[in-house]
Amino acid sequence: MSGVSDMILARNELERQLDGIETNLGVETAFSRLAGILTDLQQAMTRARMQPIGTLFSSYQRLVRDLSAELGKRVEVDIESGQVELDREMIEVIRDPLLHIVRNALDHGIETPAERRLAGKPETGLLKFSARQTGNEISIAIIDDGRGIDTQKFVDKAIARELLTPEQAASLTARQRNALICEPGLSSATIVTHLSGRGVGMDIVRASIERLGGKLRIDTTPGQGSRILIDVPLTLSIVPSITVRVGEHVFALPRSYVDEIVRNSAEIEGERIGGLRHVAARDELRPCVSLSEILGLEERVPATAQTLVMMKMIDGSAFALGVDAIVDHGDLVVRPVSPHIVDTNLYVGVAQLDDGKPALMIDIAGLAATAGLVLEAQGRSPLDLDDRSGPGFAPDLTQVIVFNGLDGIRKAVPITSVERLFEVRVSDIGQGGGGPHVVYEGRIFPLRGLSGALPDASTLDVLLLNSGAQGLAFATNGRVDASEIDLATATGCGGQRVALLDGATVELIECSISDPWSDLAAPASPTPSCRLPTDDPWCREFLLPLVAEAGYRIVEDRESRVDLEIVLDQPAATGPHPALADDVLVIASNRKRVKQGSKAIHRDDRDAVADALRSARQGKRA
Amino acid sequence: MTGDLLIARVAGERFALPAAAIQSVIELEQIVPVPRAPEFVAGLATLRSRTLTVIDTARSIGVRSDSPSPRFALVTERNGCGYALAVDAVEAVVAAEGPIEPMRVKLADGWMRAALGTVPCAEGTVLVLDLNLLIAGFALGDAT
Repeated sequence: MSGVSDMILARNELERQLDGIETNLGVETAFSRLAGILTDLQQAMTRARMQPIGTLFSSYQRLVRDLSAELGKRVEVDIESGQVELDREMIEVIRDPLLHIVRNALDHGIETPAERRLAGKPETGLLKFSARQTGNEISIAIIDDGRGIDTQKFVDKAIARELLTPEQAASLTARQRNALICEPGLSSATIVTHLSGRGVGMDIVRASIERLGGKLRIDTTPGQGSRILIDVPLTLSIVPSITVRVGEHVFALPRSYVDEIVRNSAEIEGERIGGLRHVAARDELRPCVSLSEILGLEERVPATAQTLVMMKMIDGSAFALGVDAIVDHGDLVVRPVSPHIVDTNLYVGVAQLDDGKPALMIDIAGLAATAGLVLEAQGRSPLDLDDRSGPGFAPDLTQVIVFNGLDGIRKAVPITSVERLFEVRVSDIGQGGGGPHVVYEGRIFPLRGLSGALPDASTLDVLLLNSGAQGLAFATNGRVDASEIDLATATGCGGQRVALLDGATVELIECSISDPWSDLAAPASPTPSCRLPTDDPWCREFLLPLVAEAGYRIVEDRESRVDLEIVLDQPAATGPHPALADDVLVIASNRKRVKQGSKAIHRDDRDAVADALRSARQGKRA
Repeated sequence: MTGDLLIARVAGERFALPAAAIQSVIELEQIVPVPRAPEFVAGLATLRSRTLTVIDTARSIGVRSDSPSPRFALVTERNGCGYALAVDAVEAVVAAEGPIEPMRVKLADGWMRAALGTVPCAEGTVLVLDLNLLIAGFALGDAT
């Protein structure tokens, strides 16, 4: 990649040189043609460097097998790479942090078969890798269904180390508690095994992910498992940046950290609180540090004339960085820089600006540490009790894609289940084969969400959902948007759940795989089958949805064996096939026939029908 | 020691480095300083599209240099990072005429630590310095 980046830089240099001299049209035309070709070549090279992330995931399989054998555990690996590709260099850089997470999951997360049996889980633990691409970022999830992480230990340690007061600890949200796992020096390992707990803890893993401009988040539920989410940029070398000037120095800041840029003034400039300068922007008091002060440079611009770059850290804490001026913004090719310079903890790499001068890329996390903001940052994530202050702190909100259905009802689907959004021509929607379907990238996906007839429009936006192995397409009627929903507000209405969003309700589309978490929590049991007289209109219209909702697979043909057979005690109804069913549920249309002790249930007694279906299913499982 | 030696001058003293390890000799133009970097890191310089870390060789050795800012630099590479060792002058590239002899005489502190030994060559006997040590800047704090 560096060769290609060099090529682009050489082109820029040539462009500068050409600007300085009088050239004829021929030279300019030739140059612009060359420039165009180079840009194409760069894009082609970028594509060629991509490697499927599944290869990386598979490389852990052997490790998992060896380690689990050594630890006397049984672990199954599930890889769902979603055809995501990542820059080769990036794959190498995230290899070790992921390795550490995998080791942690095996060593501390997944229990021994005996422990799992006691906890009522399948003896074989599950370690699941998955990856998604969202725009310029790749999200990687590593999920285990082990015992989870005891965050209380971290809270206790944080209190013992006076990072938190007991009162603050009591008011932490789940996510704030989880963030403590990554605080330096709070490793939970009470027993040091040779695999993990040797001090190279999650804080190092988080630091190395952050160094790449990535983010790390941990969700854990005691007894059910842990989920570690990592977001990393698609490529390592190209970083969207803002360049700033301090005195004669020019530095680059990774744009992902920058919240907003504010010109300082007397109104904004706050007081010194606890020996630290603060500024008040948008009614929010933030600590403020001057870049020149941290770097030990002479202050040339008075504090009130500085430009303040508002930085937002991954843990949601924020600070303002005072610089003399903003120079430019754009994508920079960031290269590694010598260890002497990295060891200052202030720089991550070096980029070459358009004028050929080098500009150091500032290590924002290291800068905050050098400025003495880290102790506060450690405390701040838990201390910052205002949940709105950081997107990462919104409690238990589920990110969803909201859209209008063809039936005019606003619908929501968890963002984790959405693979992509694409457009199909209505004329391309296939019929037959059991329902409408669309073809995308050489695969057939069943199309849902069509309310009867095809819409009048010529094209249709379709969401591709990763429901199960097959995938699913869902038709939308535009207004596709991302939002967040508190699933605690969801209520059931006739089998379809609705949730509250901005004061109105949205219908939730729930795919079996939409939440890998629930997927893990409920061990997969075979779906029981049920046959019912579909020739009866009441059965078809009323009973069938009820049965389906109770989790039964509807069997149509009359010959195969089913778990439950529903019969109507009407003369017209087809007689039962007891030999072909494990259980029979009789539904009576006449109340008089429902006698004490008889198994028959009256058809208007909806609750009793639902109960009977449930108990039949539980009886089956037991 | 076999192979060619590159003879350069810093702080008024002559020394040699294995020529094979030096990719090129450049004339230093603009050095971009790196705040908070160790003292012997003079800053960053660009060579075409490469960014080099400029090592102030005199400070790295730990000797006082009275000469004005060095004009030349020896370009080398370690672990994928480019370095430019700033020197006052580059004198010659000559073939070594014998193995490295251990030091038999006492040198000034910095030179003593940086030296691998002496090598006979057409220019007489020259002091060979340890390139790795120069880059690592072992003489922190000694420089003035």
